[in-house]
Amino acid sequence: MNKKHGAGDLTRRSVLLGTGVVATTAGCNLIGGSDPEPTSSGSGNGGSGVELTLALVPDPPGASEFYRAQMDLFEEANPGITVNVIENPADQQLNALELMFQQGEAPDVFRCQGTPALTRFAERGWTAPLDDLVTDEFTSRFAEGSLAPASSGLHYDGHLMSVPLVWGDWGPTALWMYNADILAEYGFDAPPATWSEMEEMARAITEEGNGQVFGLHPDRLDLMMYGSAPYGTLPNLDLTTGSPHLADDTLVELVEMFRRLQSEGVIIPGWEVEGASPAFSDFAAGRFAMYPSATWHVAEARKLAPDMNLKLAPIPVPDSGRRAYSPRSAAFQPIWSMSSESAHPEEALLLMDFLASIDFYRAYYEEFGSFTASQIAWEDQARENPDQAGILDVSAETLRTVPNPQLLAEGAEDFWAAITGDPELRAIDVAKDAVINDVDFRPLAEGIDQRVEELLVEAEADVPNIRDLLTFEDYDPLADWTRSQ
Amino acid sequence: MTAVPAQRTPSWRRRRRRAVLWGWLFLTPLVVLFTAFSLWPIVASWWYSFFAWDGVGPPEVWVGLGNFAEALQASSFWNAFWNSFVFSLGALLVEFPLALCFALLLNSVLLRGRNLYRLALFLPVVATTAVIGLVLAIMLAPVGGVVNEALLTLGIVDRPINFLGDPDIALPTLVGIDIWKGFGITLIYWLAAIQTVPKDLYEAARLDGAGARQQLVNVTLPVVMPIAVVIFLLTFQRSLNTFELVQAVTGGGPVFATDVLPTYIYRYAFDAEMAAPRYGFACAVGVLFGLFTLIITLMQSPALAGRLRRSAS
Amino acid sequence: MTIVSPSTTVRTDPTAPPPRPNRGRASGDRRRIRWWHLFLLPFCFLWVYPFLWMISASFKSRQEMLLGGLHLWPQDWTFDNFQRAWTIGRFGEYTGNTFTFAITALVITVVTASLAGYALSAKDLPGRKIVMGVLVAAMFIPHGYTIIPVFELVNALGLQNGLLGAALAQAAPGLVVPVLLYVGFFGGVPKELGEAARVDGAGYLRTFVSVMAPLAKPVTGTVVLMSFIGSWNAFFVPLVFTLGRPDLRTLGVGMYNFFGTDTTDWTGLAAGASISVIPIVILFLFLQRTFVEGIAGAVKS
Repeated sequence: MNKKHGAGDLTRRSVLLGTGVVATTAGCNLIGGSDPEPTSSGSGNGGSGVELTLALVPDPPGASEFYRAQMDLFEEANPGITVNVIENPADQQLNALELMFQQGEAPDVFRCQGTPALTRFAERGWTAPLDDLVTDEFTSRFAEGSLAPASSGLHYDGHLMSVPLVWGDWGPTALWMYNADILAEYGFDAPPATWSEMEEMARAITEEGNGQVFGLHPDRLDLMMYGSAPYGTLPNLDLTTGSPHLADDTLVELVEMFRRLQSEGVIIPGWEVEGASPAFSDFAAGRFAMYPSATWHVAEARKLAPDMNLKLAPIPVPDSGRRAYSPRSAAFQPIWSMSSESAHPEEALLLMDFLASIDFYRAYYEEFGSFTASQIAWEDQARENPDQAGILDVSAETLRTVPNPQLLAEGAEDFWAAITGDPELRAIDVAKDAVINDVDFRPLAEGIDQRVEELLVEAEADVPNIRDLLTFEDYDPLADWTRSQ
Repeated sequence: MTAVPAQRTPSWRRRRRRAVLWGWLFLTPLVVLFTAFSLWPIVASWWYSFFAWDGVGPPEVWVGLGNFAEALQASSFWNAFWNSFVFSLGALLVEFPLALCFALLLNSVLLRGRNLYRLALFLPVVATTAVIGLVLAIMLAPVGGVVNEALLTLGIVDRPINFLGDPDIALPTLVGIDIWKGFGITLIYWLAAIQTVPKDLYEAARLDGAGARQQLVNVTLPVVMPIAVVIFLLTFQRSLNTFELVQAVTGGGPVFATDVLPTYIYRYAFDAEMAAPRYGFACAVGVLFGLFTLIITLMQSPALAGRLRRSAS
Repeated sequence: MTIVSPSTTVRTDPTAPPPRPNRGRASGDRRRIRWWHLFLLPFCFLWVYPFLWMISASFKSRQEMLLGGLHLWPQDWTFDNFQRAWTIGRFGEYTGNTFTFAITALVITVVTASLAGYALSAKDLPGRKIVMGVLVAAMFIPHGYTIIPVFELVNALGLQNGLLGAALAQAAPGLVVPVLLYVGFFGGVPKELGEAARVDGAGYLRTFVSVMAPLAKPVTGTVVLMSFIGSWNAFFVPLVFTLGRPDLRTLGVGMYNFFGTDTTDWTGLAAGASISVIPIVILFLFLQRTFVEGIAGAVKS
């Protein structure tokens, strides 16, 4: 064959060349192996050098530099300790951690966010009890009583297993976020207080909005649901009776109202998909007037529309009067855990202490503007910011502590695993099904109740008193719940 | 025209033995890699599918066919299965032939700027899916979205179309987006296939007075057929494994209207909301999915099966 | 038709005028084909519009990207996004890794698939049916969830925390399509070509290396492109196989740094996506020619 210097030869040669170059520069990276030496740096850090690995999510995006700077502060304060940071994508942090544990190369401290995740990890014995951390000084960093094992959300099996970051007293607050300018334009000077006011206002605004402005977006319908019946975190169970009760009259009324508004085109179309375009950007664009939202939407909308007349209010209540408040079933959401397999538990505990320090909480708040678990670290500053003050006000008004059967009903773990392990039992999906597909909500809800009842009957085989465990007779949905006895 | 196969002399036998030996030597890397990284994991997942297992530690709770029975009884499984099937129908009925048409057009040396056209049609393939999800959500929005504004202005519709939010429209919309996103791949494969047709054949056909259509039917298609079968399979397989796009654009919503098997499996295997992921169940769904698609392919396309048999024999 | 040795292979220059016979008809074709531009130009513009918007978004402010509609020309140009993308997406650290990973996976794919494809194109190879059957059947198994067994295997081989393990895990499951493409291609190459080479005294290996592999360029170009794109954007495999070595991550993983638990840095992501698409576009333009030049003149009438 004739030697021709065509593109093909060039391709092959350059690929080979490229391979060669890359292979020589990065050659040893190819093989790897089990040698757990994350980085070469830091080894020259004095004789008694201890290396800790911290596996985190650089959240919010761009937080890498913040965390590195904070770790530098920690290293400064604790000579001899080096912290290697491993960052994982938010979606994959838990998977990555699980594999690291299976590999026997678990990080010393890791971000393990949320109750389901903490339960999963603690159950496998991967998290170390942090009881040594709990001193009077430590307790004083957080709201009074919030570290009680039964309600902190950070405990497992009676031991502190996690420290919090961006979640606290205000955490589960459901806000009614509204654009006061739009409301005023259509003749309303206050946000709706009741459901029928909400319906009336939404209709009026959509009708006059002429396809450009709509009255309502049901973004966090789930938050409205939680707050309208005595359910706690899992709305499938009525905690006053311990029985499944999604087909509750008030709840049916709520969902049916949204179904009505949807089928008549009152609700802004396009909300149905939790896709890439979030509610706050349509809100900031002035395309709709009001919506039930989670707290973090406030700052996001504000960033997009700095001059907007954004106001916050409590979520409207049923016309027949309030039946429940937004449920605070745990004081905190777990975030940081320490590995039970850490080779340097004492140093790792120091790091945990640092991550739960007032300084760190304040630094995080100042950097990202989000509330952190130690309210005293930032409350004065937040009071000066109208948006943030608004969140605190609404949460003080509408949040009430409820019993958390997931934390309290010991022995019912399998039942929870069965309930949370079935995505088809998620109440919000059933409600959205009714609203979007225009079908009756009650039969759907009754179907869910029936399946939960079946799971209960199954669970009774192992835990005969499970219904008692899930019943909190002293629970008054209109008051803060404290454990009697 | 063909050289008559040599007689079965001892030297023929020796040559043949050597060819077989060399053939298997050539196959060794594939067999090793494929067995280790594809077959073994698949077989392992069959094994896992008989357990109630969260994916950590050794699987212990044997549930037999329980996972399979549960999946087969779940309407959500069939919903996702059907949606996946719609995706492949779209890919096979629209993308596959359409890409061939474009490949034929863009293959013509007479068409100026064909390199640019090819690049243009290919670009969606390399566009980051997550960003595309946002772009399309903004473009297709019923309120303020450019597509609806255009349709309204032109008077084609009198109410904005809720492309992604209406459960009846979301799936076709998403299939359309999937075709758009993957079109370039099929196009490139078709172009490569057409390139394997020796140019002399066209010349010969032209000398015989064949027109463009006759050349296509008599020269191009017969020669590309073996590769066309591969492209068909590839398009089919890719459309069944649509995951990222669905996650990015609709997340399977509204209310599971665009849920596909890969998102369904992901939800059970890796959902962070679960205290105990159901890896075993996810494996069972994967196995069922694989089996069904295999059966359906073999049943519904006897022509394809025949092709495969012929090219495999 | 008679066979000529491939050494007489002549590449037709794609820009040269079409073959002499029927010159009149060819120029008629040329005129007729011009009409296609009327369709192709607007069609392709609409087709790439979302892509162009992605590029333009990387020069926009967050506000303009989310609320500013769909115009392509940014009102206020900003380059902050690229600066952020560089640090958040870790382009400086990860680009080298990504090349190592992608090229390793590519070499594995091309070598393994072309060898196997050539072997399997011999219809009389014993065991061929089984291998082909298994390959095709495996195509239908969704593999999103088979990561756990693969992970265990790589651990057992001691290849965790290295890009080779990742490249193997990336390349191996994707081998089916390239193998089948090569089978399809080599199966279509006239037997006589191989015979001719053998008459010249070439053995099995030589025939493959000097005759068959060069002929397969259109297929190889495609396989190279697809394999490269796959590993360039790969996310899960390089993440899972570099758990303990964040310094070995690739850009596909880095891109996910733009996503937080609740919020996303959309403009940074757009800038990151715009940067990371460049090598692929270059490769595409570079390989473009292999899609145009076929095995011209391999068989003469």
